[in-house]
Amino acid sequence: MLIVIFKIIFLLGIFYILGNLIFRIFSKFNIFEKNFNSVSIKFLVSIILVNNLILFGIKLHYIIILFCFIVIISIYNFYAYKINLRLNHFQSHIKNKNNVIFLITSIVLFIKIIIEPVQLWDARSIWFYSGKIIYFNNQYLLENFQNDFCKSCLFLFYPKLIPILSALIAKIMGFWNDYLTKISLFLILLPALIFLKNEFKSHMTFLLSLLLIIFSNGFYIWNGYIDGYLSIYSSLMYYSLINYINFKDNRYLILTIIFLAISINLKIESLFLILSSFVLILATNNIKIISKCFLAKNSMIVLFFLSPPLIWILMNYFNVYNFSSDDNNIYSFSNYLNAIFENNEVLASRYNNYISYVFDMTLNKSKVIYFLILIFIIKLLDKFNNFLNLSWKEFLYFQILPVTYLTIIIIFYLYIGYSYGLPSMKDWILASFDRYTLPVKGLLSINLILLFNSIKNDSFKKIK
Amino acid sequence: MESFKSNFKFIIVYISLIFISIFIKFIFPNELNSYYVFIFLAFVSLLVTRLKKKIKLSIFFFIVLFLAGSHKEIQKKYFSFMSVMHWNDGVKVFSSVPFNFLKGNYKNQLNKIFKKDDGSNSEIIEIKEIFYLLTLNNISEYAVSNSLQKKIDGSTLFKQRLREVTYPSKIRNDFNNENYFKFFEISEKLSRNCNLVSKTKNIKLTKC
Repeated sequence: MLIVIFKIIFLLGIFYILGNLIFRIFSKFNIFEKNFNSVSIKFLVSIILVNNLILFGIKLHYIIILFCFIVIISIYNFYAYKINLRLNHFQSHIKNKNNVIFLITSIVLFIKIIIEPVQLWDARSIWFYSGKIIYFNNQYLLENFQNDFCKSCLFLFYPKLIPILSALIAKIMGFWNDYLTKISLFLILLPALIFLKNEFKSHMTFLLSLLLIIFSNGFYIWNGYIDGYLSIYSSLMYYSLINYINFKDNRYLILTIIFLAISINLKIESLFLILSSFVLILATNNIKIISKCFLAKNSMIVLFFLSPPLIWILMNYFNVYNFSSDDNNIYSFSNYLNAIFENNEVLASRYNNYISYVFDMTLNKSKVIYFLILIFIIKLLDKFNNFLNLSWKEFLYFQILPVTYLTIIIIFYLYIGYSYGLPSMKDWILASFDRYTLPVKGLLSINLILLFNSIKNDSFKKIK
Repeated sequence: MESFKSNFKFIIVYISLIFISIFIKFIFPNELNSYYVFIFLAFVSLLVTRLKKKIKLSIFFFIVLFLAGSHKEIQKKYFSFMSVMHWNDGVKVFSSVPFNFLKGNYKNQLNKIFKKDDGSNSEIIEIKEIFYLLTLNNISEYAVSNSLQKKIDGSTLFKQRLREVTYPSKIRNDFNNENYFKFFEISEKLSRNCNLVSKTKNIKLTKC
């Protein structure tokens, strides 16, 4: 047991140290800047790097050897720079309220994540089974997945970040079990917690961000599904993008790219995020952002962290996907339009037609509407009390990305109905609307936090 | 010392908030449309904290209470099997972790965390026993009896979990003139060419 605990600490430490090394290299070229959420970035870049290496065929034990080299280098650095752990420094950290909240939250979430094994269908049969395939074959190869998972199915080009991390954890532990491999989820969660802690200096904002961005995902944080994590990283990516648009601070653009890279490595639904971000950039006339991503130092981030998973997904998609199945649409377009506006017995008497069913599930049952109502209530309260430092124009442009994301989900569901039939669409929505709309709620949570952050400090005087 | 005191107070408030949220859930049972109660509470909080002239605190409580109200209780009318707004689940479970630890509810899981997988996570006893016999005898490919095959094919969960739990071992039913391992249910008679290797409560392993 002690050895396992030591290995868990080693695992968390090694990702930090590897990130630190990458961070130093990139800092020399002035790509990363120190003291700007660097701890979070260090974790994230090392996670993406390890994922990319394994994705393109590097065996798990070579990664372990790489880890050993890094340990040796860091031990040398430790002696060379005579780093000493000062007690005063530690005490000042403990006095910070954000650190206290962060510590309690991470310990409790860590326990909650590993105390229950993977049990739900997608978690065990897609994500962690994929991890098992990588672990027992000692590397990721498409052939192994085609032999042991399915010959030609959508799952083959599902991103492999969580499976890769769980396989690597099992390799470090020396055995597979359904508990410890879930540390892969905590490894993804930890940088997000660190980012929120460092970004929101006020403890109240940090607490609100934890409640809205982390806890609002509930069991999707610990049940082995990835949707909660996609929601968290979509939110962080959106937050960084908004800040970049507002302040034109390049550090936020780098964060945007890194968070987007993590989102792409988590779930294929990150495509919705890319599309809606593109709409936001177009709508706010910030098309220069895209060219800036490929300029000078930013291009290194895109090259090393963002493009490999994108290339991998596209490669697998074109290798595996059977395009002929696309021709099996059961409706003509005009017939389909008639069908979705017709009352159908499948939906009993609860809905007038399929269109109202889709809207009810995605807006009302998903609770997205409550977030929108809440945001508008706060803005309306501001109209009478004038406590926000935010114009209506800014307020409305905050809503572009979440609303576009939601629209894409609705279009996607309608497309499912068109391709596979309306009963299939009904089942698909029932099985997924809860998870698919999590990122929308995450994005709207960011809007709430932005509203909260824009409250004027001296506002109580004006309320009188 | 001052900062320690203020931090201590803050931790107490933080933990109290968690308990208040659980307490509210107990007060308002499922039958009541708790959403309106929460909205009411949200506005009351807005009013009270506004009187105290702390707008940040008031908006904080307003947001949290407003969203907490939209949790799964009202969803139970239509979708009792899923929770849609997970905020309460998140906070409830968060606060229940230390409680469960102290009460010893995690004892069983704690014993399993640090050990190699024993196949029990499938919660299907036959899979656990097949997995045990496979690892005991270091078997990578195996066959199953007709009766066991019917059982596997009859349940998608059984089929899927057997494949996942026993991975990398695989079922093969095309063994010809070679020795192979075959699983039977305990009540079944063995085939003529198969000899018993070992058995558990529900499963027999044979070499054919």
